[in-house]
Amino acid sequence: MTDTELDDILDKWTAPSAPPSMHDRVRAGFPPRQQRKLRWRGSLVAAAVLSTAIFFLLITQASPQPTAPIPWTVDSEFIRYADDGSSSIEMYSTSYQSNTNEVLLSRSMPGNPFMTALARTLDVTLPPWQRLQMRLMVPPGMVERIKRSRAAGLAFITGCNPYTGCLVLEHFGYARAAAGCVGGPIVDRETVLGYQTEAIRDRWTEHGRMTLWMAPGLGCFALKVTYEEEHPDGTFHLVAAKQALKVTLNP
Amino acid sequence: MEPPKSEAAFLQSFDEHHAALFRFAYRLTGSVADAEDIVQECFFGLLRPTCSYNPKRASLRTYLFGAIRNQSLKHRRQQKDQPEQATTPSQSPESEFLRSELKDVVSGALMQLPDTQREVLILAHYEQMPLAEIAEVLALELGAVKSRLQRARASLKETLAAYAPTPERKR
Repeated sequence: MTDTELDDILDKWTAPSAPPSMHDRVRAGFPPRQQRKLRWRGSLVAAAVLSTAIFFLLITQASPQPTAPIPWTVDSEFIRYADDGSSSIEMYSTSYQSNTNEVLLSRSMPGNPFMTALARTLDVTLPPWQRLQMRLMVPPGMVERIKRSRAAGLAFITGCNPYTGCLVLEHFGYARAAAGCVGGPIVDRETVLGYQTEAIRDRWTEHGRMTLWMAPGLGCFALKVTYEEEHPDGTFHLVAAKQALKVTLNP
Repeated sequence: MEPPKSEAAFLQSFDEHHAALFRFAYRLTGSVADAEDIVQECFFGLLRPTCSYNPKRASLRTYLFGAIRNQSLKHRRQQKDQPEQATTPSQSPESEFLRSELKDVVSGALMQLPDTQREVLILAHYEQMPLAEIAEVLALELGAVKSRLQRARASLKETLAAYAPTPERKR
């Protein structure tokens, strides 16, 4: 068979035209989808702000200022990745793990002195205000329950909010496991800054996942956190990360 | 070209590309309904905040062909995971020719090709896409595209040999 003969035979297989209904559905589907997207995004921002506010209420009320000296601190950087693979540092922080919560001691946004000043002002002024709200608005019985729940869990600062930037930080809390740090399958083990870590993975959004590398030898502090989003072909690409830079003992 | 942001730009992109994308999806899946779903989903994918289309890396047409290919492969994998349906016993070329039109034979022969060869052949023969653009759509080296196309054509020549015009008919 010659190439021309093969081409002639192949041409016998004609594809049908795209059904007109597809065009109509796409045309009709655009505005509602946009509205759904906006509603979804609005709900997500509201949920993020609300959950962050509640979290602050909980930790500031339930966590009295530490009286014992801080055994160690961790300097971390928060990185955001663009679609083209380039990265930028969003924030540097110094924090430690105290009574199961990660406590932020200081932070700065490189190249953005205004945001740094605003964030530091909020860090100083918000906790007393939230403690006052908690005292006035939360029944004493619930405060006790919050304390018990906090004592049985572990909470981490995992990154900057994708919509508001580092002014609002993302937090995740997990129940503490009987052995190790938190429950769930260990997906990776890695040594970070000389500390053995064990990683767990969690869904972040419908198309995203978050992985935390916690160091049992460092109060389960999350020395590394990554956020990834899923491509249509099922592969994942990095969108944000938190990475420990230095551990300081007896600061 | 930027990802379409407004409804007008989105519909213009759709009008420009959907016919070719639909043909490609149909020839990969063999189903009008599946092709329709896949094309529609790929266009709505452009509206998602997680859309990875970058106009600096590829044209919208190249990106959409790649997206259709990925979705179709995913779809075929899902179908392969499902229990196979009963198939009719194979027929001799003569009896099959009598029973079906030649286009069914051709589509059947293409469906028998490995996915990696079929997608190259469809883009090259039916969509008349330049080999360099096929390489971009499939994220392959140009040499790999050429060799896959050659293998696909050689395999089809064997499979469809019985349907080649006879010398008498050629005269």
